[in-house]
Amino acid sequence: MTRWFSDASALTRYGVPTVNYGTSTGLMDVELGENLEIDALVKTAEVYARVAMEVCGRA
Amino acid sequence: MVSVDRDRLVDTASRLVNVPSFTGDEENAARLMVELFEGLNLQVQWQQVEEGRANALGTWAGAGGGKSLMFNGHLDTSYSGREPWLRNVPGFQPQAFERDGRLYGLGISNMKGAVACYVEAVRALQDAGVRLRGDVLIAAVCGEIEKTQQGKAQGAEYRGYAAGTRDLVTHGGVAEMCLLGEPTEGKVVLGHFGALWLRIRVHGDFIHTAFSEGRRDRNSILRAGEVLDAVLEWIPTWEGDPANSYRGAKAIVNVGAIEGGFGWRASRTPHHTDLFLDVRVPPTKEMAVARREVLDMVRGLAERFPDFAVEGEVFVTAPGGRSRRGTSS
Repeated sequence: MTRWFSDASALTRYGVPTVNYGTSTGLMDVELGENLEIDALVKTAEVYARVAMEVCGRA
Repeated sequence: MVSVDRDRLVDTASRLVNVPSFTGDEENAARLMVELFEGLNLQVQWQQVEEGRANALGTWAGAGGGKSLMFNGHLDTSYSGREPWLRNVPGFQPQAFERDGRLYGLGISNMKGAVACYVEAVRALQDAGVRLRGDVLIAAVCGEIEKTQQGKAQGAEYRGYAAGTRDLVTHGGVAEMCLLGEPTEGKVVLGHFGALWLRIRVHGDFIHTAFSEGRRDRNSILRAGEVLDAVLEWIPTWEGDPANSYRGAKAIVNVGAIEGGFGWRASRTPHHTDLFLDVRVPPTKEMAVARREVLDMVRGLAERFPDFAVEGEVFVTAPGGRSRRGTSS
């Protein structure tokens, strides 16, 4: 779904190629509110670390 | 082997949730980011965007010879948790808690969880003894939430729509690639729609009820109803226009607000009534073109309803984001 807004708006106009990638698990819980699955959060952090190695290169 | 520490990640995310950072009041959360950056020995840049609001930029300098990567995340939350309809919802309070493998709290999904992931990713790399060639920047910014100052709604809490990141990119916060951890449900999103907000004003006569008999056609609220019907006829033409679709998705238009009259003085009809539209614009269309097109539509309304003195004002032009390369989302 690409109908929402993000700071990619300002970044890409400034010439910074930007990708959105994050975790979430559908609609918020009506009674309990905003939440994330912790295992998915851990996986996301792992992906971010791998992206850093891929983009920046290992010394 | 790079390994993420679950408990440390949950702790970082919880600490971020526990510092309230409603739009306009992000400075304390930015201070926490500085503390986290210092724990990672990052170079810290403090960007005071305005009173009570800051961006915190942490840089993990590379050995050289590699491309730079920015992780960007906003600190402001969509809600304050004080809204009457959220006051009793625990996950909308700035108090994190864990239950059945899930982490709850205001801003956790949008997007303090991602900001915590940025910090933990760098920590995990450092723990594994990884040295990178390019710089890694973590930008924790204020003012991303979709809102803007309008009418009586003035002040920092209404200054969103990339206010922090616009300040960031003009003050050194740029990199050769950026990863934004908005909640995409695990999908890679290479582009998204922008938004144009339009106010359509319909004029009428200021009339006391006692003198309103037979003058209903002068009532701007009722006139706005007719104009709204005409707008509803136009919306499918915008949404159905192939030039307004992006990656197979239509450019949605929403009637977001209507304003007219005085509840405390219902004995008078108002001089004018405003309709507010949120018109989504594909990143492939320049905002100036979208602006001209919607104002042409308003001109059409003015011609169709010559007595209403219909006028239009575009007050948000937030372009969509689009990476130059890449073909899928």
